[in-house]
Amino acid sequence: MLAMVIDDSKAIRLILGKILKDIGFEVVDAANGVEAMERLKEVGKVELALVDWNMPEMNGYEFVCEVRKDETYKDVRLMMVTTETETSQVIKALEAGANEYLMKPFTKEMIQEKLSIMGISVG
Amino acid sequence: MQFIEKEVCQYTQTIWKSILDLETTPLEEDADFEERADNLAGCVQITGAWEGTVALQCHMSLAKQVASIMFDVNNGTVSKDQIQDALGEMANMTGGNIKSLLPEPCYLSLPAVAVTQNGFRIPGGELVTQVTFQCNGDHFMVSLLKREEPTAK
Repeated sequence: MLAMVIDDSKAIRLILGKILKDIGFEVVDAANGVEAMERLKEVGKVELALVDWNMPEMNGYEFVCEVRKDETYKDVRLMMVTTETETSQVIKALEAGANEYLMKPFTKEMIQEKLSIMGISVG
Repeated sequence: MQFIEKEVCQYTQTIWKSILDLETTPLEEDADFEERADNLAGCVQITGAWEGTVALQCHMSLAKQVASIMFDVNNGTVSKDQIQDALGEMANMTGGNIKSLLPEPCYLSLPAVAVTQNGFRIPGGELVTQVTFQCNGDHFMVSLLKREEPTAK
């Protein structure tokens, strides 16, 4: 299964990527929403995307909206992994099409629990 | 007790433990953070219903340790970019968690990181909370500065 990690912090991309690889995913990454849309077009089928909110160029919310506008990506599961915690923002992201929401800081166990809630079982 | 000091301590300890697996201990309120020539500061701005800055200051030695853990590289080979990325993200997480305690709506800026040889100053920012922590024999400081209301003319 292929997952994409989208975060403007390279450190977070590495940490989340390592967690996902340990679980059994192949991982690609992107530093913002624009780059993520390009990567999506390149790699084709992505099962899961972990998406930060605050990023330059195109933020995570805008990315979720873009992905959900395109029928090609209707099966991509989207999980926001972000410091953005306001209830109104969480609702906004979920209404835009995010499947789950996880607040930073995270642990491997938290990621696994959210994947389980999303019905994703790997490894 | 300073404004949301207990929560600042709790969030900071959780972030450092979850992301870095490092234990941190808040020091007494009057504990000094030694300003050195190699101080680094990561900060995020908060705008909206509450306006101000969250800053995370530490010495280069601790910043290198943080970056080496996050990037899983040897402490001696960690690059300047990796240090800035790591400290910026730690400031971002700290700011984001603190923001959750402030009146809504508030917005968080992207993080900025600077070397602060002569200390860290935010013009127009009133210090409301400052906690110094001990971590692996080194110190770091988390500060919350509220933007002063513009004076009426």
